[in-house]
Amino acid sequence: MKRSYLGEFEEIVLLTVAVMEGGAYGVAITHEISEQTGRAVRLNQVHAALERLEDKGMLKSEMGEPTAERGGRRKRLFTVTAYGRRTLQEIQEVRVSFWARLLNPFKPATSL
Amino acid sequence: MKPPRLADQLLEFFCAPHRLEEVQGDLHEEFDYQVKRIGERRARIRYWRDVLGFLKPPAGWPFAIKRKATAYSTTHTMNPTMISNYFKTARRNLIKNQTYALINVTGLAMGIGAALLIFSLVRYHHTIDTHHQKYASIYRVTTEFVTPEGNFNVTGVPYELGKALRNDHPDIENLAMIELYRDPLVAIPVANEPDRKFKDAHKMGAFVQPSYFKIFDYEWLAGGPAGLAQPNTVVLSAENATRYFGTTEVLGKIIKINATLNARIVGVFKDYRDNTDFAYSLMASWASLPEFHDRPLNVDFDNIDSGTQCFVSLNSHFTKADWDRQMLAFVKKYKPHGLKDTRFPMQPLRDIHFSTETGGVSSGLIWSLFAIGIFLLITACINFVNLATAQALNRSREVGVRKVLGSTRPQLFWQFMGETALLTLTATAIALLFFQFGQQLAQEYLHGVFRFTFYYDPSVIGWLVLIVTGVIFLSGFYPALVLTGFKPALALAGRITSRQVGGFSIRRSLVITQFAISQMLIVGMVVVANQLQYIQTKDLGFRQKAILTVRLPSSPQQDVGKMENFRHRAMAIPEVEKLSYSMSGPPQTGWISQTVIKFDTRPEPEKFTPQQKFIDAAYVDVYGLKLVAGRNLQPADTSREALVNETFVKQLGIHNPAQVLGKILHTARKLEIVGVVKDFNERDLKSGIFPLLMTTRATKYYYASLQLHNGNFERVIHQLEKEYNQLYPDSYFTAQFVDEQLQEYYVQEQTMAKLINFFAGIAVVIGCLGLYGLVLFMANQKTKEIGVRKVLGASISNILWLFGKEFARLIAVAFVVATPVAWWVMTHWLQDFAYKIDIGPGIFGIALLATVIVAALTVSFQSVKAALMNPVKSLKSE
Repeated sequence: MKRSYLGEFEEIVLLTVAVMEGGAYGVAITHEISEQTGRAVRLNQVHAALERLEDKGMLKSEMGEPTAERGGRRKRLFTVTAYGRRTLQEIQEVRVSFWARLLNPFKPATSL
Repeated sequence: MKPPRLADQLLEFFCAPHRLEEVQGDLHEEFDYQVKRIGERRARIRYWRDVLGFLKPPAGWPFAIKRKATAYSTTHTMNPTMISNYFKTARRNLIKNQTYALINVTGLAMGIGAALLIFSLVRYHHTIDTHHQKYASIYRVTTEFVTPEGNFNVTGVPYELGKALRNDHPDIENLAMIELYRDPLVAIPVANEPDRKFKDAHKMGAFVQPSYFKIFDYEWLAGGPAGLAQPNTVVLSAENATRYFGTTEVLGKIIKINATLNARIVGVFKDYRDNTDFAYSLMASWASLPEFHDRPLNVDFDNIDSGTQCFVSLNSHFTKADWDRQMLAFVKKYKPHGLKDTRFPMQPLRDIHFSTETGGVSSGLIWSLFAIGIFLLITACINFVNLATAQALNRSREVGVRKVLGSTRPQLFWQFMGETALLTLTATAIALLFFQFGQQLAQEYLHGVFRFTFYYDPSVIGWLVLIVTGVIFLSGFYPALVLTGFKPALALAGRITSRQVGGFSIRRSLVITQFAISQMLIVGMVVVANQLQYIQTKDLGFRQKAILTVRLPSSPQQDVGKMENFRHRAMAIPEVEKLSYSMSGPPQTGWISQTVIKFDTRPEPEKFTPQQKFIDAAYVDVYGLKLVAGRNLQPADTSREALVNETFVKQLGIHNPAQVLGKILHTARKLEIVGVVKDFNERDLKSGIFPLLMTTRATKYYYASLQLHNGNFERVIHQLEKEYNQLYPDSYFTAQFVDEQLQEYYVQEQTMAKLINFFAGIAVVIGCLGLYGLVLFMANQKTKEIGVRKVLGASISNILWLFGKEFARLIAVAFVVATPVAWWVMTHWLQDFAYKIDIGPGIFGIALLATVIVAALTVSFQSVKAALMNPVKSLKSE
């Protein structure tokens, strides 16, 4: 399996962008992640991850429309590339195959 | 509701420009959201935290730190790959042009090393005594004599001046009298043994008032100055205490000053650093002076010893201006007969070291040295610039390639500056070796003159940094500008010619500057040497050869019987031809005794105060003084007859010397003028001639002058010492030849002259190095041309002239520039001397000739080689 290594946080960011379908930009992603995961995510971490993902070719971006609350500044809107999607799928497949081989699946309440 | 502005500005400054919009937009949106959620105050804090989060460098490079906006960033000058490439290019270039590199590095190293030596020497002279806290408000009161030839300053003042000043001007902050004690002789009593004697030739002791230490700062290791209020007390430097007793725990011990005066040690002070003019290693109390001299101190204002000095520190209650206003009234009150010719000006401490009249170093010479230091650096830089621009052609292709590959002009500029810096730093390393070596030489040869040591003064490092930066910029700037100015298309096509390489005219004017500097320096050297030669060989009006002076013990009343005894013993030595006793030899020892006179029947005392000298009848003969009228003194032990000099007669307002013969002079005694001697110079040739009155008085003779035959002088001195020690067991034998004593007047000038010669020589050598390099380059450039010319029938002399005519022109122009400057500077320097040489055209001729010869030698070495080259070889090789 040949692909770029993807960190756990990067994976979450990538997934979030995929979920948000075209409406993904810095602040929105940050809020979405903190709502969904409950983690205290910071803007700069998200930006760094987005930049890395774009470098790896899993995200692409374009500038959106200016809005008033941003002082007339444009957003950078991210979408997942084909390569990004494939990567996510591969990760998912690997996980699923491991889960499938698990003889005694954990019971949620008794984990640990 | 706006986010904090400062945080925003911070972000704008640090954030990559192409990312700023979205990042800032996100931050603002988040801020807006947070204000609604958690209130403005906490939102602001959070905003700050977020902004700082963008600045905080995570692993690797920080995300939002400023980066190029373009997708492909250009190679930065500071990129390690490029730096190693620069080094590689520099190294290859140096190896390819070893001769030029060697010339440049040697020239720069010599220049920097010598300049560093000079600058630390200059700095040394300017820091003398500045460590005293009251430096700016300390003055020395001196005596000034106004004579028709000009004003002469003597460092000394009458004993009474201190007391009088203190009385009349109680507002003076501190006042201290001090009497110097030359070549101190100290005896340490040892139980059951003869005293151990220490004679410190060429060192100084002093008698001081305790207030001296309120003016000057001393660090005390034990005791203090308070005890010096008592007679028979002394303070020592730690070094001396250790030398006498082997320890600095010496309080309360007794030493015998001059082997006679008992003095109790009441203080030990920390040793001097070398940068002081007042290095007295032993200071006895002023109150001990009467016992030391065995007589009460003079209370008149006519006896002045240059060693009896008065220091004051002033404050706003009483300033130098106050004194200058009141000085005349002071003179009128205490020395009414000196109203016309005596002044007591105050000399600021900062001037003392540089006042040549009072034994200081000529600041003119110091500044000339400084100028030479600058010249040295300029010459070295000019070499560099010339050779670098001359070679620029060879590197035009490199510049072309670099430019095509995207180098910008600033990048190339700094590359070449870097290369210059590399060479300069190499040269500096060598220069530091020179500096070290030079220091040791200076220590060996100059120490006696300047008490000069280089201690590792931080200023040396400062100078070094300054010099190195200066040199890098001066020598790197222009060549770098030329090199980076090439048009890449032309450069790559090989169509850059020497015409484009920074106009030959600039190189020419630089060479002219070098020649001009060399010529000025040579003129300077010749003038200084001639002047020193002149004043040292000028007829002073008295005999100097083979006269030995022996100092008698300085008791207030000489024992005439003992002197007769010494005369007999001395005359018994076969080499001793004649012997004369006198108060001093013609070369003055710093002691001036003046007297008021009334002439003949004139009712008023004369308005001038002649110097008074006590001599015996043999003096005129021993020193070969010429009589212009009358006869010599009759042998006598008391004052009855007098000899005067021509200046004296002139001052009386009489033209014919014969007219004063037989007239009576009224001093303390009545003296009949029996003869007039031709004027002779008592002091160095910087000052003129004083009116002089000479008479006999045996009890005031302090020197024996012995005229010697040829023979073994060593043995004579040895024999004399033996006789002297038998006669005067408590004293210490000192003998000196008159011509040697005269030399001492000029020690400083001679040393400075040597230094100037040395450094000017280095400057000329550096200039030659550059010239050599330039000719080497020309010869290389012209190899083909010379080949063609030779094939077409040019003779060797034709080809030599090809090189020579260019430089001949440059030398001629340089001569026109250098002559007036050199003339002006040297005329200025000569003004210090009462007797001086004329600066004639001959001196400039010598300078021109010297430059031509040096340049011809340098140029011909390479050009002859080029001219003799076989044209077959030079034309064949491509």
